[in-house]
Amino acid sequence: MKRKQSGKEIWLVILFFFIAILSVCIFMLRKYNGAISQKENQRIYDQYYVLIADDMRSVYWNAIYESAYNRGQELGIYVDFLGHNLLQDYSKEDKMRIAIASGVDGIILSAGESEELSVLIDEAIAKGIMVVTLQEDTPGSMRLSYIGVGNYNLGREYGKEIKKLATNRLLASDYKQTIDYHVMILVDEEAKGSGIDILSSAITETATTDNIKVVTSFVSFDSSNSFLVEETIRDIFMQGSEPDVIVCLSELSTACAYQTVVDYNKVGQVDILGYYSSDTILNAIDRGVISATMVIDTNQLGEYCVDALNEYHTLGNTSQYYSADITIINKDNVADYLGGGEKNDP
Amino acid sequence: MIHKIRKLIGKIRFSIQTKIVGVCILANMLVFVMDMILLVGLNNMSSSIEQVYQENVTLNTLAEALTEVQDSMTTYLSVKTSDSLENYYRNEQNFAKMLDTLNNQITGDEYGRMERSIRNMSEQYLSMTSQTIEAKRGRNVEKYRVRYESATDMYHYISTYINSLNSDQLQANSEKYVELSRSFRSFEMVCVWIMVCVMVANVIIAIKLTGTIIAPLKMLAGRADEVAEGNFDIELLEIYSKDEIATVTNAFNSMVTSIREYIEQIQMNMKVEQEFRERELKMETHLKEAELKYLQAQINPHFLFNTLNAGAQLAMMEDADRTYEYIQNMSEIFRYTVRRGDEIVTLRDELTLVDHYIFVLNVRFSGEIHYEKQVDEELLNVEIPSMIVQPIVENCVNHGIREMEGKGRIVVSVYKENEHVCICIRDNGKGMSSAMIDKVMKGEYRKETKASGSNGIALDNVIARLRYFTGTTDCVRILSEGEKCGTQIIITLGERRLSEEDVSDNACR
Repeated sequence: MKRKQSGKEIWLVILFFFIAILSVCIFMLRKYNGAISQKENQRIYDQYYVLIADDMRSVYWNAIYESAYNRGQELGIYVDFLGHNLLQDYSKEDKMRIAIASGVDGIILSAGESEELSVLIDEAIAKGIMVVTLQEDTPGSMRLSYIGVGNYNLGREYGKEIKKLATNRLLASDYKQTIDYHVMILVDEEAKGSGIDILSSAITETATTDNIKVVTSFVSFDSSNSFLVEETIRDIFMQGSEPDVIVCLSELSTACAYQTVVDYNKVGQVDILGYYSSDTILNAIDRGVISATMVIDTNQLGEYCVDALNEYHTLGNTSQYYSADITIINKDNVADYLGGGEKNDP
Repeated sequence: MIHKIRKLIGKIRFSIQTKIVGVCILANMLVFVMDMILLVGLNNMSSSIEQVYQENVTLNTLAEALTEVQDSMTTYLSVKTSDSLENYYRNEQNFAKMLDTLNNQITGDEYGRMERSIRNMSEQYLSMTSQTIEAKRGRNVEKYRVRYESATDMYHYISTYINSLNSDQLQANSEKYVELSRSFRSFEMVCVWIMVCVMVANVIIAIKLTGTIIAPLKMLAGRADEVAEGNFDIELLEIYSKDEIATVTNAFNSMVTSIREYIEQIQMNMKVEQEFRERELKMETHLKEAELKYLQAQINPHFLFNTLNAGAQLAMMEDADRTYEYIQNMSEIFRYTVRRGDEIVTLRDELTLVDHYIFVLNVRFSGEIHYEKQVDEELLNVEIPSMIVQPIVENCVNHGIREMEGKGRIVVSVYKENEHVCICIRDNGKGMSSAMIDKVMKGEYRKETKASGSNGIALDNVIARLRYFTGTTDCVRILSEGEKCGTQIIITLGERRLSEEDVSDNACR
């Protein structure tokens, strides 16, 4: 009996060993095969939208894209940042052509008031591709909706900050009763147009008091070439015509202006009002180099874009204008945003 | 089902050869299976390595086909030959065919989406090139120039997309390749270790399995040694397997059992033989004793016999007939006792002796004894040891009749009962108590009779001799209903008869 039992035990040990070795083999095979053939996301989407913007590397645009992407995922729509994976940089016009030829369902375009873009928007619309503009509008086109902050509202917020800065400057100079406060607005060449005029007017209107006379000027740059932005700003300082405050309307221009002011040792003499809340900008606010920055809710922007397109796709109509919230970050509240990384939500 | 299979396996007889071959096959199978698994794994991995760059090759082919379309269109626009047109159409067809293999769905996978974009753009591009060719054929210079430029732009976009996709995939594949190579190396190491483990396990399995085969053989050898040393009281070996060892073990067990049985048989035979010898010795002793008694009495009978003969002759000469008859009977008695002391005689002889004896006694006791014979004449030649009936009759006279008052009566009857010859000697004497009968039957009464000074042969001697003669213990029965009720002694004999020659021989003596 004992011998019979020991015989059984031997067979059990053999069986166990065999299974163990087999399991190890299968586990190793699966592990290695899994390592080399990770399945890509094979989900099939109903619609395909693309976001077209100039500065694909900026945190700001990536935040908007991320928000739009997430919203798209909820709705069964794939949102792509067109051109981010291409070997060659294309202009917005080229990207528009590519998007139209690629047969996308919707285009989110940071447009500007260029005539060519307007034509391409119309062409896309004519081909049944929905187009909404983001941040910068193309009023003359057949775009379905505009998503952004109103230039007037943005101008008012800038104006309030400029008024504070000008008042401080006035208080610092005891003997002056009035000051001319020179505001330089850095404008993307493409965005130049009626929208910027409205912004400028709103700044002037809000900041001007009896003692403060606001003088606005524009310096335009070609955002398609990122090196030119920095060069343009440096030119201002090189020429010695630095303003009291530089109003930046993009993340890139804010970063460039900040670096230039530091390089030319103009901290305290030239104030900067920035745009967006990247780490660099927040740190600069903390150090007092940038006075304040306008943060537009990028989550809202991204979501509104997708919602507008989807609404049009579903209902055949959508609102002409979606407005996102603006938050101001300055020395007083920058601590709330520092350390938490990029804060898109105010 | 499992039970049936088990039963079937239980019935199968595995020889040692089968078992050893089975162990080898099992070990080799283990190695083989492991080898196959590892080989399949390595094969899969090498296939993956081969396929890594296949996608890049496909994209390169697509890019070449696109370039050929663009070039052939450009050539046609430049030279407008039918060959170039034909070339264009062929390239266009080729390119269009390749487009069909591209993904057309909006996938989460970036490569899939890029393929879709390439496909859509390419379809639009082919439409543009067709329109360009058509415009060229229609000699509409302005139109085909504009369309050519649009198509060329599109060609560049598509090329960029293909190159970008190619580049991305190449990068991804390179990473995959590095990962794959690393996996390959570590998998090789794992394979080596697994094979080492399997080999070690094989050795252990082989040792264990052969151990299970050899273990019963070892046990058998141990038990065989014990048996060889003379110990047959070993525990029989249990049989688990159905191989040759089981057969040998079975045979060994049978052998040990048989040997044990033989030994027991021999011991029993020896015991019986010993008992037989003891019995023979006892019989011999009794005979010697009887012989001694005869020898002691021999001098007197001869002397008396001769004397009595002389007396008989004297009585005859003096015409004393009764005296002569008396002496003659006495003489016959003495002659019988002298001659037939140790012989087998016939019942007839014995009864004749009793007749003589009764005659003598009746002369002596004045005819007080009434003697009666009821004999089946056919049974008179039946064999019987000498001096059996007369001592019993003498016993009846001495202990039964002599001590009684009135006329004594002795009846001797010979009859057949159940194929046996029965001799019954009955008297009407004082009878025997059952205790006395027991004593006589057990031979314990002998001393007492000796003490009484009898010259005859004791009853226990008669009984013992009859028992040896017949080989049974119940050949003599003594029956008595108690005091003064007489005694009956019944002798039961087999029906062995002396031949006529023997009878005549005996008579001559």
